[in-house]
Amino acid sequence: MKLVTFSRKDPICEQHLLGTFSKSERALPIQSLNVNTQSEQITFRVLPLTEIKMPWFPIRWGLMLKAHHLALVTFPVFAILMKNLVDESLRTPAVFASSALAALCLMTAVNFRNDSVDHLKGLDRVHPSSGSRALQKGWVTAQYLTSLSFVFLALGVLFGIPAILAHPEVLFLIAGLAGLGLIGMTSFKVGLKYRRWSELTVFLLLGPMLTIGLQMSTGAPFDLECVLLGCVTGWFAVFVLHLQNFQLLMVNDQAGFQNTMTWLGFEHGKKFLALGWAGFLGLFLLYHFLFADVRAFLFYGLISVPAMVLALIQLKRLKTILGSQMMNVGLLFRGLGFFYLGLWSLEWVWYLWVL
Amino acid sequence: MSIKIYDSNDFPAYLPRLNSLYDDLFSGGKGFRAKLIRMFAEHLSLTEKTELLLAQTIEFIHNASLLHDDLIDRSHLRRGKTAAWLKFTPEYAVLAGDYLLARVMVNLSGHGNIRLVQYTAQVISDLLEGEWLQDSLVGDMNVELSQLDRVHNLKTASLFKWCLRAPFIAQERYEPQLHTTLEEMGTLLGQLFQRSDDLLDYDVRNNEGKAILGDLKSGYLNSFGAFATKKLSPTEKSKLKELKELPEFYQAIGGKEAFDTCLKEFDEMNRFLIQVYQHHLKTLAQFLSEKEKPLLSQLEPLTDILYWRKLPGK
Repeated sequence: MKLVTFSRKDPICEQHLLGTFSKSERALPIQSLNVNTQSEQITFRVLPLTEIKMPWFPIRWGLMLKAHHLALVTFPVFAILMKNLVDESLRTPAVFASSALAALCLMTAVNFRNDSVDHLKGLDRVHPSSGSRALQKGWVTAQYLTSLSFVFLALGVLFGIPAILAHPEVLFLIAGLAGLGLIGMTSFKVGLKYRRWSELTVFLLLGPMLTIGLQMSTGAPFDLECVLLGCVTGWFAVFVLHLQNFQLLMVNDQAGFQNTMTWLGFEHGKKFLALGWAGFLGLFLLYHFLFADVRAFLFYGLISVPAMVLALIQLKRLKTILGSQMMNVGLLFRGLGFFYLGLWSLEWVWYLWVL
Repeated sequence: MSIKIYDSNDFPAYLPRLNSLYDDLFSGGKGFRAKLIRMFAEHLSLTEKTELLLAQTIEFIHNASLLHDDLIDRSHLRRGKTAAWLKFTPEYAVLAGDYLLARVMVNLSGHGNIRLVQYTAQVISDLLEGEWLQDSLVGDMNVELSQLDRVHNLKTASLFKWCLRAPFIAQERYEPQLHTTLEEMGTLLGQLFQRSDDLLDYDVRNNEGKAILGDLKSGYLNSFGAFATKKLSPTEKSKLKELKELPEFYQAIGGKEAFDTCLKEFDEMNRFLIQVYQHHLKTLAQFLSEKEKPLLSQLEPLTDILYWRKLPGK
């Protein structure tokens, strides 16, 4: 087994992190429990490409694309599409399809860039289970992922052009989205998700800005419904971000990475999550009260009571930052959140084909 | 030269019970950490005074942690004798542990190296964090190995890290890369020691005759337990606490053959850590003078001693 150690400041270290040091080998950084010590040095395990176990191509790409993250974009796309199909207001379907592709490409670009930045910064050596693990396992190089992120950024911009041409007012939103995306892509020092102000960016990117843009691209007039729909999806995306940071509270705190959860601490973080969940349910119910069938509102009202109680019980039981209770909290909230989005998808289908 | 780590004259004569408690506590230990300090002192040419200070410091911290640990775990025995909290009182055990930590700070501050004082305080803080976290995991049969590693890095490895780094700090050698290397080596030694210690619970290389399934019976799934049971369902894991004998554990994970396979995989995983440790030794060589390099040959067999439980020189 070949092991090499370089100082973080050594240019050859950068080449190993990027994966550009060799065409026949991959350098896999060894996980460290001591990141952010005085002067970081990195130890790599150098493996020939032939020794790297690659999963089947679709599985590899599925993991790299992080399907659960993409769902945060695909759901708003689906919801706006269904809303306009139900309202019979989808006037420019080709432009909408192009805009939807633009949103997916931009999300993928930010995703890849974040993974690459986390790798270069060393965050993926501190968080052993976060990210797609594609870089840590040597499936791809950081250089390749960075290049891919620029390809997807370019595709995102390209797919956005029809929307701009058809509805010039979309330009303001596209510019805003691209601007926020670029901040995420160029913030080399730390990845987007570790910035304290990232909550607002994520909320807007995956929330109102996305749904308003998509709504405009359908050719239908702007309405309050798409804003509120965006608030629900954006809120959920931010909630997932906080949940992830809460689960990594100890590691982030030890490594000196600052975010809202490290600022709040464990006990206040629990309360914050409870409030975040209540906010999600509240926005979800408000949307349904204002814009959905009354039966759907009543149904969600009924199931939200146990969903809130269950969340509170689980949080109250949580006594330690490590251990299985913490994993259960993550599973419960993610499961419930996606369950709600799943039900909402079925509801749209119900409106379209049953009612 | 032999170092007398503990001398009753170091503590106030007007506190006879405290001295009696320490007499018991210090008489049985192997003093492995102090020996590690000696090893460094010899090759780095530390003064006798500094060597004694460092050896005393690490043994005081270690023994303070044992006093507190036994009380938290409600362990009845320590080094074959009645645990201090039981022989005296829990209050005495806490105070005696605190007193040792206070002595550490008094002694170190007298030495005058503020970086050494600061680093030692950090290690004590890490140790307590680790103890706190470990206690919060009691009863959790679904804990993962990676989570336990984080606890052990604080609780067990911090002392090994101190043994490796403190002699250089005492010499005012602060090269960041040297300390990063030593930090990694300390983490690996701590992890290997803890994992090997956890294997004793399952009667693997248990030459010391440690109680079988002691951790599990206390509701604590240790590193090997977490590794061996990772494929069990949460319901199956919840029944582990009720196991009384080792054959029952074998059965729970699929039989003795499955246990042996698991042990082989566990050893293999730790062999990798040993290789990484050996690699770091080469990096360490870059920071040592020719005169100091013989230290490397003494550091090399540590993994054999700590993980494979081989006797030194065998």
